[in-house]
Amino acid sequence: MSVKLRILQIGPSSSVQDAGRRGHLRYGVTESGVMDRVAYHMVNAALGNPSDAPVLEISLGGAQIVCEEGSLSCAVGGGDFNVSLDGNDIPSWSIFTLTAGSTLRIRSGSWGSWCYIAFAASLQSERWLGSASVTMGSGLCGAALAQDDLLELQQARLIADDCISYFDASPLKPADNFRVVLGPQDRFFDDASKAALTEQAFEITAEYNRMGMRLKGPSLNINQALDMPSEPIARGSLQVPGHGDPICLMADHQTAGGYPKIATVISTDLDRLAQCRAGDVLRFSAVSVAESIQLTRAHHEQFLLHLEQIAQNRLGLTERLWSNNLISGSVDAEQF
Amino acid sequence: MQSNYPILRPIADTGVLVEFGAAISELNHQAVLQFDAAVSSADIPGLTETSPAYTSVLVGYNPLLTDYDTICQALQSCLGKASESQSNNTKHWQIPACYSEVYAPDLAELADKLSVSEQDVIAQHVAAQYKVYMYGFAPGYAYLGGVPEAIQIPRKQAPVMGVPAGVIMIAGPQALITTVVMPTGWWRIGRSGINPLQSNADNPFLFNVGDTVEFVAMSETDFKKHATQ
Repeated sequence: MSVKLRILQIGPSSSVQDAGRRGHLRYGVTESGVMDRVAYHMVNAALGNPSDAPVLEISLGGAQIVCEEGSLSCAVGGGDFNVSLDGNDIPSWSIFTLTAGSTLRIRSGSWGSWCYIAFAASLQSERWLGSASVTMGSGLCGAALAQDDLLELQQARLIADDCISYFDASPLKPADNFRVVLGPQDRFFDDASKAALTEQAFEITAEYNRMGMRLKGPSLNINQALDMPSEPIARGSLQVPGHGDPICLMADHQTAGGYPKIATVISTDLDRLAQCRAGDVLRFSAVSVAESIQLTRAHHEQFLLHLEQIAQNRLGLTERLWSNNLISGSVDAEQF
Repeated sequence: MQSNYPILRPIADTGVLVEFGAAISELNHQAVLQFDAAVSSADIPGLTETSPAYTSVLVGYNPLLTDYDTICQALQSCLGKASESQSNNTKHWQIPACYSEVYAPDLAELADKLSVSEQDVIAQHVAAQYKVYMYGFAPGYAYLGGVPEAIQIPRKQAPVMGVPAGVIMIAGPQALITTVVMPTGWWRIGRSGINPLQSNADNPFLFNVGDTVEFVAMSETDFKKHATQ
């Protein structure tokens, strides 16, 4: 079955994203992909989608989307956004059915910067180097979503005929502490700045987009005139330009640059950081490389358990539907 | 290579920055290329990618499959073999270029600032041999080192918005050919007959780091013919 969705309204910096395109940094191609990889994998798992299926990444500006043709199951998740279907509020982490004529509305809620919509269908979108992810501003694989855009989907499936909450996102709510490994250029900063990085608080500024997040706090100063050759940059780097404010580089970061990086946020903490908002206050704590790897492995184990739980819930649901024991009303994940 | 180099530095839980020196030099870049070639042929478990630059190489790894110490040991072994590795897959490219006024909006001002003629700028640019040192800024933006000293000029104070693909630009010792529409503060002196970002789905990048490039000047008429071929 084919489905047509029309964008009635959409905030800036919303786009089609997937797991990103890796392995092309050497050609100046940034990874892109979703800002919150944890939420991304969960919304796809909720529908039994392939783990690299493209989704819509909705910014704080929200979205209003109408189904013009066909019907399909969708899953939302990410921050705690306010989601409604034809005017009826539904949980911010739920599976629901869009039918012709129905309108999905997403608005910013109590926390979170990014909301994901996965489809039980194949979203028709441009692809480049094996990925459907838009790199903002490059024009190489589509652009940000805009009003009146038409989304076409093939092989649509129906999983539920009602709205079901499939996950309790509260454990994913961003904390205010983020782990970093110092370097690779912490040696260029004066002692006071190095101490300030982990001893003082930083506030997220409004200069936050898919490329990076500028933080305001104690000024971080270099201890010498610097003429650093341009070098490759990794996601999570805390790059400090001349103004002294660290910028945490995110999914669409430039692949190379000549500003020193005082530290790098560990990969496990980047998704939670991405869900923070301007005005949020955070602190950094330094860990060793060995600790960062242990943290990542432990986090991954926990993450797989979440995915397994979501998959089991979905299977349970399918069995119930098969036996015509249709679920009515919204139920908690624990209840089925 | 300076004596205490190469230095391996961690980038959180997913990367190692291998540095071959503090300053841009032919020697340091040669070490980068040899190391990059050695790592590429070493088949290291858990390694995800390498990204070479002027004086350093970023090595990415998957922390679920390997760890920092293991990767560093494997990289040290590549450093031992790097001097034997030849990046012999480098190519030489001749890029058709047109320096006509219509394609070179900054040529007159540049020549004026440097107190040389426009013809001199073009002659110098064409006579030089360039090397692909690294990619950066935007997809397919290959930094070509080798702009002759006589036509080296710092980038402009304010960037020009919406510069299209295929523009030949210079700033300081570097030249590049734009591949996508971007703002830039570099000086636009011509148009390339080839976009280094090709429409080849599998490998759209014309240059490899280490390749050499020269520009071949064409008249506007010949260039237009070339472009329609």
